[in-house]
Amino acid sequence: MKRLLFFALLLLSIPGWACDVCGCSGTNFYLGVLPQFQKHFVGFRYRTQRYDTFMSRHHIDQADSRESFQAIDLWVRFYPLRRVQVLAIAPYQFHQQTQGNVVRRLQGLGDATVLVNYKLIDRSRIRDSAHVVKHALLVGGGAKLATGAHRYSETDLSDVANPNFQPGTGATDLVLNGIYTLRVNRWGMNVDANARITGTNAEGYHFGNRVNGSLIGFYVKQWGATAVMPSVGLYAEYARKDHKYGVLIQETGGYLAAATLGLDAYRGNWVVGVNAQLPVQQRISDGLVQAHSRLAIHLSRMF
Amino acid sequence: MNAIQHIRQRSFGWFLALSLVVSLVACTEQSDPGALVIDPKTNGELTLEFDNVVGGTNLALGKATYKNSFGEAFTVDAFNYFVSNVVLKKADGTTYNVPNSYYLVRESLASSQLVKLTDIPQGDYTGVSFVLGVDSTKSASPVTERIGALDPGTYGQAVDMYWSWNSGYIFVRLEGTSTAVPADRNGYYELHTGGFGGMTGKTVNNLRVVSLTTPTPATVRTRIAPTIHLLVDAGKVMDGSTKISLTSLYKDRTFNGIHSPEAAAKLGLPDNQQGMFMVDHVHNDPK
Ligand SMILES: [Cu+2]
Repeated sequence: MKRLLFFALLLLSIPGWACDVCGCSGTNFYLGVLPQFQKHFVGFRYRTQRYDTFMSRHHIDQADSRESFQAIDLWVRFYPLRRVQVLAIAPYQFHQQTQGNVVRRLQGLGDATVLVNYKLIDRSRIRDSAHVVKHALLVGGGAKLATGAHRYSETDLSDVANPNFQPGTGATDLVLNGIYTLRVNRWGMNVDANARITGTNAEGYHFGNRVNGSLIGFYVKQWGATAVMPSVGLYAEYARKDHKYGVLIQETGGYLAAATLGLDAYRGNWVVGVNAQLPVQQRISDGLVQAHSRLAIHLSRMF
Repeated sequence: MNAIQHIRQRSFGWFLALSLVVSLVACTEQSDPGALVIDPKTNGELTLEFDNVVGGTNLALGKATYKNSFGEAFTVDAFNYFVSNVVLKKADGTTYNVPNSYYLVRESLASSQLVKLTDIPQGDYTGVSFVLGVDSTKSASPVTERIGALDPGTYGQAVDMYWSWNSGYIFVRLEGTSTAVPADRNGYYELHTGGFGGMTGKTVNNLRVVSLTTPTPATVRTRIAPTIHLLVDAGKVMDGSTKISLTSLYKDRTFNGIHSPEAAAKLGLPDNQQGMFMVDHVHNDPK
């Protein structure tokens, strides 16, 4: 089973002139079902997220806005040692905010993440893709680096003066994660959890700590060198509120729970896949931000 | 690996897991205690945000049509008012008078709706009061002392908010179109309120004090610059304790709007306008 889903999620939103309403913000991070083969790979992923920000619910005089966040990720995985897996992801972000007729755009390199995972459990008996029994547990951690730009002007109106709208958070975060995969013949399940202990950036801004996790079931159907893998599951994320210079920012943080649907196809050393998250329950930024469905498409090559 | 090392490693793991759970799930989210310490030596900032509305909707100048309690449709083409003598009240009952505080809020000028008070002693403020209008002493002072928001000169900020030496400033100016106003008055209503008591001749005193409490304290600190977000309901001008019908007001063909202290008082405008204000919420945002 070869597959990787690796979400760097951005939950964001927008400010008005009196209060900075923000989404969960910062690069959120999601590890889906990982291919358990002892193989290196390199791939690209395109992902998109959209939000509605309801400033008017709070500030009757302020316009609502819509935000769109797109990114192209370059991701790499390799095994320097048999039980040690290194994952790296570098995003390039495209952000857009629409407020009435005003459209503001921003793009740039985002925050890269580097993770080192250790295979605590790795047992498998594989004959072919229809006769597989295996389970694997990986635990590890790493860092979300401050490679993305994080600067904006509070006075320049063409800027979106919100820490959340920046390509990077400006801070280095500690990342902890665990992934468990169980596969019995054509059926499998994947559980993962991911936590980020956030740092404080040079402007004294501290994005809230955050966790996310998912539970996904999948099925593998194979024809010769080609295989497809549909999957369905649940995803949830939770972020604490942000602080600036130790001062709590009320309209930040929150949670989102989503149903996930995925379809991956394998042929030779190539993997192509699409994955969607459909929100079922959410409360982001004290309810001022509403997340829409998220979509990701990826293409990877194994070595 | 010996047993002790093993236990150490395990307890470290548990410690990590536990601190993670605590840092993520602890349910009250607060500012750091250090950021909440009151520094009596440094003053802070507090902003009053005057958010003009009609009923539950945002006020849109000239565009939207509203209805008063008589079902008469009207637009708002101008909505301006003076706020002065701001007093902030702390939770412990002590007050702080903001010196020389005179502001002219205009719906047409977004920047005028954010009144930033600087040099405010740090503390927890739970109340704010102000005079709706320009107090008698200031109104009667030499024109050279009335500058900025109070400048009634041709190019002054208060040019359209001033009647005369004796009648003084227009404290609240509301006007717009209405189908209830006959065509011979251009279908345009004008409700102008002023009157500080008069200089050379006595007029009625239409000054009112607005006193409000905040639902949560505004915590002025070195790093916290709160905003007290007020909603100001222009609809209350016609629909306060006195209900005003534009049809009956404009039925006399010689009537051309409210343009004097006595007329405003007789119609009950000062009391109606005193009730326009409410504090909706407080932001204790970092500076
Ligand atoms: Cu507000």
